[in-house]
Amino acid sequence: MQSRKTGSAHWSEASIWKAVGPLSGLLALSWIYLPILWLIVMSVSAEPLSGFPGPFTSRHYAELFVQSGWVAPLMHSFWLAFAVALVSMICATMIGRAVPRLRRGGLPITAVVLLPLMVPGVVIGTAMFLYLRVFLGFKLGLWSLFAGHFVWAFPFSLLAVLVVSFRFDTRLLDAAADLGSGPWERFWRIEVPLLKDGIIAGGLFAFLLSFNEIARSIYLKGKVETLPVYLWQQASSHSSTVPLIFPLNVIILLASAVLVGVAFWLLFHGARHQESQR
Amino acid sequence: MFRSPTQVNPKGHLILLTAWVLVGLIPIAGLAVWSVLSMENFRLVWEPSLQAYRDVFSSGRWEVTVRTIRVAAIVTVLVSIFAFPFAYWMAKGTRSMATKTILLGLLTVPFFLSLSARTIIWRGLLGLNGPVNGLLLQLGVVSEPLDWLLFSEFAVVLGLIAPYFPTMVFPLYMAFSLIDDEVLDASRDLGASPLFTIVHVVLPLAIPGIGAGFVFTFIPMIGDPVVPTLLGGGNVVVLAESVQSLLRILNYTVAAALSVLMLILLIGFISTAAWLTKRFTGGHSNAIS
Amino acid sequence: MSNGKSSSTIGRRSLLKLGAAAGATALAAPFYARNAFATGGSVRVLGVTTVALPDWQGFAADTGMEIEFTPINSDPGFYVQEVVANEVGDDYDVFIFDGGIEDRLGESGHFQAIDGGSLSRWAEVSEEVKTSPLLLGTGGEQYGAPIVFNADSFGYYTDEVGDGAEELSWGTIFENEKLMGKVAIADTWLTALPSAALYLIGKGAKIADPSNMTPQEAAMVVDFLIEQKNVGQFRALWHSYEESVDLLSNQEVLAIECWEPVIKQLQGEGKRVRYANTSEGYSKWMIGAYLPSQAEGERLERAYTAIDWFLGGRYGAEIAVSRGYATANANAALKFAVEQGWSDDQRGAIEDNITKVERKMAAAHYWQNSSPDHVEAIESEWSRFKQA
Repeated sequence: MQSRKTGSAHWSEASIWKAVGPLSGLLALSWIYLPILWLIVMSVSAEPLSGFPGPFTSRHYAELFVQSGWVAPLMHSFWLAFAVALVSMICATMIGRAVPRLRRGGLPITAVVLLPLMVPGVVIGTAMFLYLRVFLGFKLGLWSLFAGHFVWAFPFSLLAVLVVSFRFDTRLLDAAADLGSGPWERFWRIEVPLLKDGIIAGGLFAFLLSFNEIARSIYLKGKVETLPVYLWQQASSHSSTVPLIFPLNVIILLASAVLVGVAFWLLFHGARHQESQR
Repeated sequence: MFRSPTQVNPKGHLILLTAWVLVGLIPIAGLAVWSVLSMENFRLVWEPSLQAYRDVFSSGRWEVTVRTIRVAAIVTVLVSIFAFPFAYWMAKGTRSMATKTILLGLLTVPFFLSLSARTIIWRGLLGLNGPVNGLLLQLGVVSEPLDWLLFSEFAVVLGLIAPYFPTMVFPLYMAFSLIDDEVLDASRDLGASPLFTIVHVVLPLAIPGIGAGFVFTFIPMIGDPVVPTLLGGGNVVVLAESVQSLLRILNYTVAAALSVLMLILLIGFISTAAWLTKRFTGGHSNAIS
Repeated sequence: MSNGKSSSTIGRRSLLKLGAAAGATALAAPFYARNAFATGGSVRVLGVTTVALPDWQGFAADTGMEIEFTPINSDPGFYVQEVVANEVGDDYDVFIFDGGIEDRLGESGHFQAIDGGSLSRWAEVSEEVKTSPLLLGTGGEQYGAPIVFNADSFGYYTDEVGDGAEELSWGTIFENEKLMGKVAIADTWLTALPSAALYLIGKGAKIADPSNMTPQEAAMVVDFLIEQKNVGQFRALWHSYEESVDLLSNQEVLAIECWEPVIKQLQGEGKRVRYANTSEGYSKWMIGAYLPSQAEGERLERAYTAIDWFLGGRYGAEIAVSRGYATANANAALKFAVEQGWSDDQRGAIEDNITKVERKMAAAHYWQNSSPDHVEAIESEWSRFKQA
């Protein structure tokens, strides 16, 4: 994905995109981060729902740490999302590399995978609940949460891989085979590096979709609580859940910023390192 | 047995697709069945009837499908306008790895936060006595606070832009990154204007990414009740909210009928969009559309 | 929930009562100490978050048992789903749900009747509370024990609406030129339709039972609401506690159909708001404890012990102070507070509660009924209102 051309001036340097691109990004990112910054300010304000900051206090943070109920659900959500991401990534790579090479069947397979996305989450959740619990009689739990999240996340992972794999030049594999490399070597040393961006994006997306999933989870959770489910239950209380809305999200914001920072640095820095060695 | 290096082993894929049918597709097929039957204490009552579909229309509930598609389509178009140049610039306009990493990181982090927490903030900001109206009054732009800033379709669209901008950028960025610089240079060398290059070279090559961006953005919005309930204030009823109201009283039949109706509309809508894209771009691509 | 004033007089116990005033001081009371007294096993409760205490130390101290409290969203659809389809009666000893589904789940054999004789405090509970239709089956069986209840109305700014000396009409919310576009209601047919029905009955409409309307009656109420909606009476409909707080707190609306703790919180923040005494009547609800039919033997004994504790003074006092809600035995709550030497503020909250309950429970009302006979028609009418 890196620009391979060096030397002469890049074609787009003269173009208007150079200005419009960053500007539109800046606008959109401000739009995204305005409420998030406001969230941070409000998390230390006495009356966060009032729309105006101050007087400042750390009271809501103190309250958050008095209640410990959110910790276990947070951990469940994290590991569940991790598992969903891993499995989605693997399956998306398998199917995603195959679809473009099918003479026919590529479109139907893609359509069949995308179909569950067209039904609202609560309905898919209910439908899976009635099917798994009522008709098949299984006890629900972590496994059904996983199934529900997988059905939600996998199509997105697959699309991410397809974006890359449609542009994959299969002649590279023929060439490698001619040079005597076996199927696994071809897969690991040619396909995976070239599909890498799509695979990573697919996994990342699966993680994020699962981490915040609520509509399906409330039907498929059995006795397991994920963070969104926990928050949803608390939100129905006749009392303030301000500590769970404001401070908890600020803490998650900081933690995820570190997490994403480290992960991206490893991914992209590693990539550049490889690139420069080539 | 010898296989050509470009062939794929069908066995693993068959297992996967079978699993998919069992877990993902059977429940959807079930929807069509439930929409014509009814449930009594979680037992199916075998008396097929189209009453649920009649209810959907007689109560005016069907309107939520149209409203949901309209809102999602408007937001998709709006975020595309911003996402397109931005993604293109990230892929082709800057070569600084650090910039790209930071921007992609900034687009990713908000997903970890609860959407309702990010959205409830807008209520304070856009309200009659909020800072936005305060500023407008101060500047003399308006003489009365604007009541349509909040609890309106406008507010819902505004609130949906933030969570659904990154979902459009990611696939577009990937697709643009894959286009070789040589292709773009060749286009320029042959005397094409940047606009011509975008329309006739970049767009056709990026079709899979554009299609994916549409699915990533438009589709999740269809099933998402968070922003419409918080910022619509009950005035902008979308599909998911209407369905939730039905599920609360365990009216699976009408919920299923409404979802089936939506499914049909969506398939129609998407096929039309795909068909138009194909016509528009001619035979340039072998993409999913 | 927060009540800054009372944090000045901190006894060890008052700390436990005030989840919010807790702040930094409560950090010193580590939550892992909560089972210190528990020796007699545990009781598993599946309950709505409204009845949850920030801390269950008192339960362990009084009963010698640990309580495993699993929260559930207060959505009747989910209660039924969990109890009937997920058969959670196998996993929990006591359910604490909003009343209204017990007739249905009792009839289908998922709840067992409660034997008042097995509860030491049953006799102290007033007859009027015990016989709420939200605790009884269709044939009068006692399926529920009263845990927390209240008579709801609406909150308002005194400067704009009135100082609250006199009783206000529900018309403040539903039909009022002065407040046009300045009111909000809850986004649910469960309270909005019967409350509007109370108002219409006051104006002479014929509605037999607001909490169990016929499709025609519901249609009539919805026609009226649509008329009001179209002239712009309602600014917004709310769905959660926070939304109702921000609507009133920001003066986005000046009057709002809401829960009483919302007003308590805003009064605590110094806002000039009141919870209305209404002339037409109140919207009453009851959260009850129900026994799963699977509970028997030792499980059942523990369940009864737990329910008995909820009927006692400590729980009543803690809920009255933190939420302002009534419990089965308010006098026991006051006695407990006096014995424990709680502050005047806290005792005052309990006393206010006693007067309030006496006044409101005697007034006209309806009981919120989540499973009326024509629930599908009513929900469909509500959808018509939302679409209009």
